[in-house]
Amino acid sequence: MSDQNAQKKQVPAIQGWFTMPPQEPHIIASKCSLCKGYFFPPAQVCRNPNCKKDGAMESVMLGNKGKLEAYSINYFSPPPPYHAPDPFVPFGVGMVSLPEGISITGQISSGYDEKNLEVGMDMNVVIEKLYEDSQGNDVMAWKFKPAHR
Amino acid sequence: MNEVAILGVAMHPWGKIKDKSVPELNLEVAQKALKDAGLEWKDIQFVVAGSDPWSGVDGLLAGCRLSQKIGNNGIPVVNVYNACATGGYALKTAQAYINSGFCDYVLVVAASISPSGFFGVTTVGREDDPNDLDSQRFRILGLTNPTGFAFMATYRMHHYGMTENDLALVKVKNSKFGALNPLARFKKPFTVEDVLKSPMVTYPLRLYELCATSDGAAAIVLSSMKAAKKHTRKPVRLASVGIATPKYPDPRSGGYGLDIASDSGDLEFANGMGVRAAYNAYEEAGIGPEDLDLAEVYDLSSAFELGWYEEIGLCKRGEAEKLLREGVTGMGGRMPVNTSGGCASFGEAIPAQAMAQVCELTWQMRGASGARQVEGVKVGFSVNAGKQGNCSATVVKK
Repeated sequence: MSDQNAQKKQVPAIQGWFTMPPQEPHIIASKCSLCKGYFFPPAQVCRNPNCKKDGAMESVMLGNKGKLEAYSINYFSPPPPYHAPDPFVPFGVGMVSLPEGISITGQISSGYDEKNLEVGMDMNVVIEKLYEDSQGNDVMAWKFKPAHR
Repeated sequence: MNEVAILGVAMHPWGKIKDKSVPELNLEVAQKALKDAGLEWKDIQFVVAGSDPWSGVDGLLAGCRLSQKIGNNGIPVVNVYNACATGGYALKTAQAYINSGFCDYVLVVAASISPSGFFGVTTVGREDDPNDLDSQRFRILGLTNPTGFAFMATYRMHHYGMTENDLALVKVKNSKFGALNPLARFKKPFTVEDVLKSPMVTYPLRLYELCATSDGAAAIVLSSMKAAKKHTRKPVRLASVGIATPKYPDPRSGGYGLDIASDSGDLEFANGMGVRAAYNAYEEAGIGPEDLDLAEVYDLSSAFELGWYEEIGLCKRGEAEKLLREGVTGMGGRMPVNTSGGCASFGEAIPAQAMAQVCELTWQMRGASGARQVEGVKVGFSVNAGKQGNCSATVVKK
């Protein structure tokens, strides 16, 4: 058991979309140096049609505290490539608006459902395990967790 | 500019169709619509077919396979796909060719045979690809279509006081109409209690408040108004087709809560594309929402039906629940919505669904809607929205 744990690695679901532990949890977006728009997932070219588009796209860490705009609780397993635990465990998905004025969707940390979630509540960005891959690594991604519970 | 008439319409009953393929369904409805129009296949000068994403080449080249089945005659055949708004985009394409005088008779046709359950990704084995946003939506977010649809529901509950009872009431209202429509898949009239007893799929949306994945087919024969008058004394008019795609910084550019992130900018939970499609249609027809006698709106979930009341201008933001509760949009109401029974009674056959809305409006204008006929209607409206923010709307006039 302890041997396995020693070899177990944490890998990001997608490289470069968010920081990995032990760094502070942040989602990584692109910021256009000309129009100052923020884009996620990271963009090679500014996605503002009115921007001249010859400016550099800067990689920026978005603020990791936001507000829950809307949410839902999934009571049935989504189809692949969602990796469902067996037996399936219901989980929350929410849209959280971050200080830069961009709203990001993500899973809500386990243990929360409609009884303890509320639109408008303060949420923190966390980096947590999504599932274990075929090599036994923990595949990590951003999730949201209520700030005050 | 040549005006456009709806000369013939036909639908195959919606359901889970086991014994027919997409080309067979397209053939069947095309022949019915031609008969309804009083035309023959050799009269058609242009075909626009909605593509079915689930049927391989038969679905992608739907118009070509139909042409092969009914008899290739060398005319232009265009195959289009714009998700749930495919039928609207097909009608827009047909309308433009008639408006411009390029041709007088166009057949618009679409059919779908879809998988059951949640729609998943159509790409397999690309779960590590950061550019395959649909794979990442399912893998990282676990975001099914209904879960995306539920975002609008929790938003409305918080901001506008929508209740679980209201969500059930939309299904009850639409099922009353659907029970009177022989083409509908679900013909049972539901009570609030029935709906609230159905399983919670994705809070706060229950099974009976979500649109099922259905099979079906529809065909519409359009012609110039001048040509139509050779076949019928008073043709129904396709007064306008409005279409719209996302425009930066629309907050939901992936369509209905199905994106990984918004663009920066306005964060209000609004369907900007749907509003633009609706008002494009109003403008082209020279009317406003106050002129409508009835409407078909895309109820992929009960919450969306309420959102549309506001987005197409039937009421102000936050007032949709009041309209519903007071029965304004129900049977016998001042502004009946989804007299066909809507997606609640049909489910969705993706490329054909926006056309099904127009078929219903046409029958209503002809006074041919049987037990669900609304008396004295002159102006009908339809609107829908789908993946990637594809939206369409139509105005159909007596």
